[in-house]
Amino acid sequence: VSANPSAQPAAATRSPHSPQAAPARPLGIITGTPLGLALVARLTADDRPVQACPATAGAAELEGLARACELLVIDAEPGQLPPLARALGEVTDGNHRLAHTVRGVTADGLTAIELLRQETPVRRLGVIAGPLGAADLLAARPTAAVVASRHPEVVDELAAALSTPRLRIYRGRDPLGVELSQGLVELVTFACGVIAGLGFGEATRALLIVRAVRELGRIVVAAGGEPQTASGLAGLGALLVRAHDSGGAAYRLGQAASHGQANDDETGRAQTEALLRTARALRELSRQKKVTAHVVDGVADLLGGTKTPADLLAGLMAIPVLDD
Amino acid sequence: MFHFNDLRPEIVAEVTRRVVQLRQSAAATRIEEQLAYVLNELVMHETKRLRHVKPPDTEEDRRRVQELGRALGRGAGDDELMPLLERQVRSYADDIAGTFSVSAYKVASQVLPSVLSLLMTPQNLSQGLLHLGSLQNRVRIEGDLVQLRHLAAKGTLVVVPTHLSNLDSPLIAFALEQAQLPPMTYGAGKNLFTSPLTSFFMRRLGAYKVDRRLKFGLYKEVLKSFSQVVLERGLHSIFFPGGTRSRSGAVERKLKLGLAGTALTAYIENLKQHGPDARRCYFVPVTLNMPLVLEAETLIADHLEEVGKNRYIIEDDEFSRLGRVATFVKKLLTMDAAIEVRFGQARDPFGNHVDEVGGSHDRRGHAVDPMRYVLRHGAPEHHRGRDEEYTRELGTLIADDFLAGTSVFATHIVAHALMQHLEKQLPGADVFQRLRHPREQSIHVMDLASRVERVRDAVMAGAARGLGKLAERASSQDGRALIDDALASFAGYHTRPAAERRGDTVVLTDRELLLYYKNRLAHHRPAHEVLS
Repeated sequence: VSANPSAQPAAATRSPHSPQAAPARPLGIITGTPLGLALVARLTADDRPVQACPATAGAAELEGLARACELLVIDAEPGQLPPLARALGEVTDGNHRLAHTVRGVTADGLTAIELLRQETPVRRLGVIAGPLGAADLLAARPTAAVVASRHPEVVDELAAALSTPRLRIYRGRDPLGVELSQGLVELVTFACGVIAGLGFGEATRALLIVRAVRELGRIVVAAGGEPQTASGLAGLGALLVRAHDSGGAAYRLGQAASHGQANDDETGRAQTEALLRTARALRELSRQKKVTAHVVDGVADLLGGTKTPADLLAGLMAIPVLDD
Repeated sequence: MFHFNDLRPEIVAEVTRRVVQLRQSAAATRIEEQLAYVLNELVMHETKRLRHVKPPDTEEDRRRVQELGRALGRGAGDDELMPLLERQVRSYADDIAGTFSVSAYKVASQVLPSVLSLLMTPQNLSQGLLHLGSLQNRVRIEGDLVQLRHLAAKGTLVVVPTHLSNLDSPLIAFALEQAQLPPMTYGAGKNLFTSPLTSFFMRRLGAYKVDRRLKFGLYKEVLKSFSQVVLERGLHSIFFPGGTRSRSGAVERKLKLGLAGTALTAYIENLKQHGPDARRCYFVPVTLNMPLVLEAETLIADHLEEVGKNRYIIEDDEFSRLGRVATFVKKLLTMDAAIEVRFGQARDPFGNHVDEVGGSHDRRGHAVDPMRYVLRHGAPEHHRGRDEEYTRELGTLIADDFLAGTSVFATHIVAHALMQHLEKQLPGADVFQRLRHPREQSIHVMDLASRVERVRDAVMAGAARGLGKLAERASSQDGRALIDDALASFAGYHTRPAAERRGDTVVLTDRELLLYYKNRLAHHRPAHEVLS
């Protein structure tokens, strides 16, 4: 009980997708990837109030969005985020609530929430992650995500705004763990592409996924997050989908890397750089926290060009076997 | 604070009203908050505490609780319990609230430092009365004091200092007076009111009593409500956000802010009552830095025994022995620039820095309106989960301010180098094995001087990264001088010195004390890396 008689409870109990729980003002979505576009389409089809603008929008358009919407979702590639965050810093204030879907770290090695805290006056920040993908959203197939924030309003309001009969939103209080999960999922998706490219089977993939989830759990806990985040929707949930998603960028890059193919196009190079940044950031974090991280180390070496796919595999298979 | 006595009855009444109203509304909505449950908890705790009444508790305290217990025993209804609750709450609020005496303040702020200096440094008598104010010479006060004076006039200051010693309270009071900042209210453990001398001044200088023995919910509600009501009325306050003295000697990293969090609640309440022009609250981080700590031996022993939590109130440490306090103060007063008090840049309750006129600015320096952080549907509103999170985030930022404002003295650098040496001499040993290993450990003074200089350089370089600053008195010293300074500081105060010179070597004579002083650099990775 708060010392103030008019204080509100920390978290209200709400039905998963009751219309009364949805905010009256539209949800603003800044779209930088197919996921954002699919989210807008899904919510619009389900009669949810949504206002969208592209991640490449000019200042006036962003300002219009920020005026109309107090609750915002940023869907962007890691490379798009720094200029977007700076632009948002000009049009947002302390009353906004903001969550992102960015997978991986930015050029400065910061997580998206850290960057948004630096570049904007917004304090109520969160992250959306999990198995939800553009194809499932567009096809109205049941899917799910987790909204994680230390601020209960971000979780409650986004859960209300995003929940539909086909999209189940779970609540989380571990945004750092979810952001780390997003980064590691990208790396493991890349590694799954390598495995597929080398012609290995499901057993190899299962081995990689399970060890990666354990590794993620250790890193998350060492960084101050919650142990169950790794095996939740943002970790294992996302991995089970993305590890088979041969259409995903990280997976395709892994397949190409298994054949020693370089990415000559600008998008491929940017995506490879983003993966490498994430791998290095996670490796640095695991070293700082004195956590063993074989998968992160291996992928970082492969992306950095210091190991071949064969070296990586041989190295991972040679690690002393521990209890499962 | 000068009007505190006029406000006191109204503050006690308002605290009582709020807590009773809160209990009424909670009892009406939640079965586990029923009045009988809450009062039963109180009676259970209080009966145990008051089994043997001794000062500062009174027979009246026991009678009140016994009456409450009898009413609960015969199954009294809310109509009968409510007045008893109100009486109990009023009693707690009245006990918590201190008083303020202008004459006591004048004595404490003007006469006491000089008298203390005279008493503790009689050698200065030979130099005439010019040296009466030598305490001022020993304490360096840094920070943008002009800005803080402006902010004190415009809003409510919430001063949050680091906490190493029971001497921190008089030190911060002295520093505020020297900085020409107004007197402030502050919470002090009720155990400190048992000494006649400290009690005389604390009762009259705006201190409010925090009885740490009372761990039940109702008392904490009264305490929080008192703090909030005081802040709403614009009374500047001091809170030690670490909650208790740092046992390990490390700079506090995990701040709960606790009562300081009521500043945000007070700000929102003022916004609701007065609109956008409501009086704002400004958090001012302060680091209190000394080369020696009065209670170091007891604190590190407590830390090592891992009973810090159980011995939250230490009543038998060096602070309780007047002779030790006198020796300690004398030791400090014979050292130039021995104490550094550093005021950090003020922040609003959301962690934004504040400018001279009280405006908030985000990390890029852009002006922001703090009211926007607490709006719901266009109006300021309390929200427990949100406000707790704002306060937690503020605690993280203030902890960083503490690191940046920490002064590193020769004692810290030399202790760090000596303990790193010990670690290398006993590879694979854990901290307890290192502390208790029977073999005497020493190091050649030239070798130590070289290591000390490397640590000093790392500290100087780390200042730009917010890892703390080299203390002024250490800034012009080379390795040998730093060692001499540290050994001179260690000698003559603690039961035995942490380290001492024997010929060309320095011997680690009290490893626990060395660990305590070394821990001041526990956060400083570069200082570790230069010796690894």
